Amino acid sequence: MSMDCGRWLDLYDAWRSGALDPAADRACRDHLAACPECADLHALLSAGLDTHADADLTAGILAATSGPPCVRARERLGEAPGAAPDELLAAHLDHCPDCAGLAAVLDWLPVILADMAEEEPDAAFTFDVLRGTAGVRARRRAGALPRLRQRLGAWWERQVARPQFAWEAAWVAATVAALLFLTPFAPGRGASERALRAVQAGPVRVEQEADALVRAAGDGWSELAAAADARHHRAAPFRADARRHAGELGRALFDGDLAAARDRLAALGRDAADVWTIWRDPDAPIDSMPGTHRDAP
Amino acid sequence: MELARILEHCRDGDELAWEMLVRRYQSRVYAIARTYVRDPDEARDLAQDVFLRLYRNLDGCREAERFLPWLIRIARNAAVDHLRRRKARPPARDLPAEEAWDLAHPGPSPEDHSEEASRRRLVAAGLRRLSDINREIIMLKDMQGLPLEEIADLLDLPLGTVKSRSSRARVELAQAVRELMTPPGEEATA
Repeated sequence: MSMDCGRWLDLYDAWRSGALDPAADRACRDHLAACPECADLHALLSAGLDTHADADLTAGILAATSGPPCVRARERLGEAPGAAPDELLAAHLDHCPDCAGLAAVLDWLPVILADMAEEEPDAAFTFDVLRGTAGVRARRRAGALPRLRQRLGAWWERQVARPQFAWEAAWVAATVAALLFLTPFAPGRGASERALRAVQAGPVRVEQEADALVRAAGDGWSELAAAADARHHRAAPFRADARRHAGELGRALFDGDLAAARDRLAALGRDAADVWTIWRDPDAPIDSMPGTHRDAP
Repeated sequence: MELARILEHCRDGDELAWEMLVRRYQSRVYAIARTYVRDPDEARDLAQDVFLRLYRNLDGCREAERFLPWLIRIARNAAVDHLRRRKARPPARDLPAEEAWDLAHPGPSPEDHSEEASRRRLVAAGLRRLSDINREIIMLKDMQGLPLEEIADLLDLPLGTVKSRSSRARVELAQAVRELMTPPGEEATA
């Protein structure tokens, strides 16, 4: 049976691998002997089959199909460091020097890392720790009050050591001076003018002015206390309302009654506004009466 | 002496038990501190701070089996606080990893020439090249041997994330070590 070139090409791989029956094998050989084109192709393919594909070719094929396998290989290497690679991974490592180098490092890395879990500090370390904890123990034994005093002392030392401390101290001093001498109820209000007059009038006058200043300071404090007391008393019913409304707000929130909660919140806001108005000016008229209309929804 | 008994004596205020506990765990605490700060003196201060915190909170751990994870947690919290403070007030000079290592281990000794010492040096330098989180995971998992669940809890990360990061961090470290092993001018990576 004669064979054409197309048929010979179809059977070529099977023939090369010896998988054909004797009759087909003979037909392929006969065709090869009779056809110079197929003989040339066979010579070319035989030469190609006997040489290994170079690394660039493999890389090119992988890049065009599945992508470089190193990413997967490294994932597998990282999952089980130090373990023997399976067949697929071992085959990759045989052909990839980078991954093989990485595998070699990963082989000894766990041992070194485990060894690095401990590192001896210098010989004085234990002594220093024991000295530090002895201080803690002593403070514990000393009791709460000395400990608090010690903490406050340490806090104060830290504050004083800060560069901003001088500015802050000056600011506080200026505020205190303003409160003492410039506000309407300041006990030292007018002190500078009095002092100036006293100095100009002579020593006797200084003494009189000093007495007057002390008396004025006392009167100022009394006035301040009286004013605060009056405001406090006037605002008392509004404060009681505010407390009651706050409680009702809490209950409404607890019950999930959002409408009631909104009303109580509004009432609470009005209470706060009234209290603020009274503290600002104790004679200011307040429209609402405590304990009455603000309770209405 | 068993750890449970040492802890019990420590809680009763026994100074000798406390000394034993310090000596038993100081190298581990110091090694943890070294993974967070480069300067050996700073790491020493941090390790001392860890023991002070431990001493103040000895009642916080009643089970001896849970002591090591608890200690590591204290050490990590102290390190994080320390780094926050340092961020607010940076040190006068920050040391490169290799320099810091040289300061901690001054002068060559016969041990320094061994392969293991050389590898330790490479790994220490490689660790500095990792991101903070990867370095922490390597330290907790591969150095201190904490279980992944414990690490996930400590770092407040999902378990799956810690698992994947753990293997990735290991490969990153190996890669960094390879690069450090490669003489200058040659490429280690693909």
